[in-house]
Amino acid sequence: MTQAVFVIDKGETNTSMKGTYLGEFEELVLLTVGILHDDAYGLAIKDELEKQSGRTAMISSVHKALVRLEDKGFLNSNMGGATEERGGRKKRLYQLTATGKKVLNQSKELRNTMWDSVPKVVWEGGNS
Amino acid sequence: MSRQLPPRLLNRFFRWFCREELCDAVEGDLLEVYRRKVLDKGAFRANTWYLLAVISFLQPFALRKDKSRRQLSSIDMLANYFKIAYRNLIASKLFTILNVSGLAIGIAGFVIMIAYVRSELSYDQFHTKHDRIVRVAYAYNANDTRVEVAKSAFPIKPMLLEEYPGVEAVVRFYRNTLDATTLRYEDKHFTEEDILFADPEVFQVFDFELERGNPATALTDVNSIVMTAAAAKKYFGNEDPIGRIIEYQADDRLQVTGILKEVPENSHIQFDMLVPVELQRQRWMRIGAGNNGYDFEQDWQWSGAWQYVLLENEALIAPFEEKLIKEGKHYFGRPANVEYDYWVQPVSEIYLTSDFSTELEINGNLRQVYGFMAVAILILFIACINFINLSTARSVRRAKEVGLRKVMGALRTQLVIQFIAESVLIALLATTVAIGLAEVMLPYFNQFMGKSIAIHYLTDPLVIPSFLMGGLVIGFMAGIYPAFYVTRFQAVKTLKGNTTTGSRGNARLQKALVTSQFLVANLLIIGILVVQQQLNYIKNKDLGFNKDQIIILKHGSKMGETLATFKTELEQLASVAVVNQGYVAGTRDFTQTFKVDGEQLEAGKGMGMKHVSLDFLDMFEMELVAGRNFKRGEWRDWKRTIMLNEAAVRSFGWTNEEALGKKFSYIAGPDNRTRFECKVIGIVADAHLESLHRKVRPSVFKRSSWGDISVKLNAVGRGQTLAAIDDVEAAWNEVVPEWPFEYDFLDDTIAAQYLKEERLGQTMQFFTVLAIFIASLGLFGLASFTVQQRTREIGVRKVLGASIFSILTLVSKRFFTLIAISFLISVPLGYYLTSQWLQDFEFRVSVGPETFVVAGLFSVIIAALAIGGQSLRAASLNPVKTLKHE
Repeated sequence: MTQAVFVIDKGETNTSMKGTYLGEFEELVLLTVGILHDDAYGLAIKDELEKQSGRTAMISSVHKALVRLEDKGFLNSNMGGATEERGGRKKRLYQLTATGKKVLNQSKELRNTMWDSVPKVVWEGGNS
Repeated sequence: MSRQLPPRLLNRFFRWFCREELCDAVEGDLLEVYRRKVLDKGAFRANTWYLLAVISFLQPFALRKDKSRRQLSSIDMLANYFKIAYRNLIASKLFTILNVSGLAIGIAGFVIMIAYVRSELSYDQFHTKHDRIVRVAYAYNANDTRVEVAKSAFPIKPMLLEEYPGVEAVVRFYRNTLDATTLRYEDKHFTEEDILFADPEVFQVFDFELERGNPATALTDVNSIVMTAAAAKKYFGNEDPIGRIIEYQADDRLQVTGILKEVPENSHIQFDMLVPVELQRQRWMRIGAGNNGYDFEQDWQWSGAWQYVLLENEALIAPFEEKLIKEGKHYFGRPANVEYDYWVQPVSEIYLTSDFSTELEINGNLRQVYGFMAVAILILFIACINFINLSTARSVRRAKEVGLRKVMGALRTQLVIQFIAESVLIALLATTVAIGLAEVMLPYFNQFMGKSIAIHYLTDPLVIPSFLMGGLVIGFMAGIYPAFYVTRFQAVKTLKGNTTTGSRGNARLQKALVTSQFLVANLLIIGILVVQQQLNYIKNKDLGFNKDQIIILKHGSKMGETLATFKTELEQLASVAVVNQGYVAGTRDFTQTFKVDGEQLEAGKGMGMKHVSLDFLDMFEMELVAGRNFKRGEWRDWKRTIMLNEAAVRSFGWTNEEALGKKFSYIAGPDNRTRFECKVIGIVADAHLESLHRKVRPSVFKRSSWGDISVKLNAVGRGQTLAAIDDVEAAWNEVVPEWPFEYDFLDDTIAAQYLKEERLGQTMQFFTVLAIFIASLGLFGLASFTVQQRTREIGVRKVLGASIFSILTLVSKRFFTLIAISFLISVPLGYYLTSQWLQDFEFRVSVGPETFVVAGLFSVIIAALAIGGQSLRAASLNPVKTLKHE
């Protein structure tokens, strides 16, 4: 009479959808990882981000973004060297993956294309 | 070094919740920043920052996903259970409503009953000394009937204080029933019903409290009175009542010496005013003018006071009672012609166990409390059965879910837990609904019972835990069977859709449950029918005298000389038939000891003594079976003659003719000194002058010139009756304007004797309706479930030519079989139980077969209503529609 409905776990569905989308903050984090190249770990990323953008970021938001970016496959990570000032804790060092680089490129291209499409008048017009 | 590390507890907390991959990396980052902060801003600021930073990581992305937790999945699985439970409740709204409301009604009924039982059991427990306060009571045998008396003679108090060891104090209560009491302050003149005479020690022995005034001295002065704030407001308005003078019965002036706190409802002694016992004594002394005045402190014959003895400790009660029994047997050494049987009643047991004709208030009844408790449990039982039945029936629909869960690796225990948790959830939901329902029903219940029970959810520490516990236990008990039943299904079978067959055990249990449910409902119906029959019988029984159109004037006995004028005035009115002074049939009477002339004092018999007027027989339309009535005007006749009733004649073993002319003497006054001799001149037909709980009492009618004034109206219908009463009132106001005109109808007064039964009847009705309602909810649920299950079968049958009637029978047959079985069981059981109850009445209906027939028909009709709709719907469904789904 009644048919059993199989509910697919919502979590999985969401991840695949998110893959296509890169948030603004995520993009900044991704770029910062690129900037820092071989010393991109949580705190360094935060400091660099603050320096570059002039805004403050919470350390937890940076880590959150990193975890998500890694989940999405834009970042890779491995455990790096422990220093004394870190209480002997190792760093997690992040690198851009190929997809990560691609998505950054795409985003840049999108911006460029759109930028070019803005009529000159808009820039020159000043007050209208 | 240590200064540069954050609090260890925070670190440990962080490591506890953070997932492993992130743990080191994040902690390292945090420590790095922490160090900077310590250097920059100091340890305190750094610690604060660290705390906030750790908290900021309490987000899903950083949380540990414990492997062990993941597998046993308590949180996830619980969430899933709740989700499924919720979806199931929503998906089948009808079942949910039936289930929850049935259970809620049952719980609400149970809760109310328990609240009632608790209040009944709490009587007089609030006195801090209640375990060492006892009341003196006694019994004697009169004409082979044991008469039990709650009151005793006034002079027993000084005797107890003097001669009995361990007596700390004795408090006597007395209520004036000879006439109504009035109080007057300036122009405010009211009749007071709840006024008691008490000894001044009342506040020392009992926990009755004064809001204002000194309890030690409040009643020591003869002319003092204490009253509740509400009573005081009636007379004094906003003035300060303390010290005011109030007029008592027009001839005594009392000073208000205290304001009483309201007497708790669970006290068997109720009053809103107290005056000293001494006041009544002095009033009677005064009437007799000087030395001849009546002094009850000397009267060992009249049992006028309720006497409560406070002993020094609990252990002294037994020796006290022993001495009382021994010495009371021969009436404390005073001449007595009967053997007395004295004993003591612990004060906290009086309300439930003492039911004498002379109680202070209508008392409760322990058997009734147990009866109600049983009914409460039965109702809860019916409700639980519903729950079990409906859940079990429904569980079949969840067979697929169970099968799938099993395939996915669910253990049976887990499934059992799931189903039990679900039923606990429903039970808790029902409990919540029940609280609301109970609040709605309580006012009605209180009205039926003449109580003011309340459930104190917040102030009583027991209430909320017991509701919770109750919900849990009910949910657990009711859920356990369906849980085991449904989880027994084999995964393969359920997934193949093969669950409706092979559930014989279930069907058997369901049958047993439905049967017992209807058994209970049937018993309640039989009970209520019998109670109602008995009540009607009492109401309509020919009492042997006329009680209609008779009013009793409350202040009649205060008229004195003016009565003659009043009587002449009234007798001129067309609306008044008879005016009578003296004993009013069907009301209180006195007991007097009589002996036949020439016999020993010890051979005397206690008999009812009715002081009547010439008009008595005429007024109450009582029949004279032999001899003559009193003669008008003759002095000798007045003093020296009596009439007997047939019961009295029988008790002496005479015939009516033999009795006529027999000489009697009756004994009165202190120490049996006063005797009157009199001759029997007439025999009056037996009438139920006392309540129908008892036999007709052997009684003596003696002529007298005092007592209540009653008026028989000559009126038909309400309008004429009211007009007639207006006429009487006009005459009253002309003759005795100083007293308020107040009256009672005799038939109301007589009906009040059966208040207890009336209340029982109404409460039974209330709970019977509940029980039947719950039972039919269950039946309705089961029927609609059966119909759902058999939709296709019915469709096929219809296609093959089955009539609507045959399908109706098909669906409802098994229910009616069960109802028939329950009916058969309920007949002997109901007969037994109702006969037990009827034992309380000397005059009672017999439980005839028609009662059972009516009860049986009633339950069949209810069942038909519950089942019929569903079956009819099933039978009339278009088979094309039902079969289309295949």
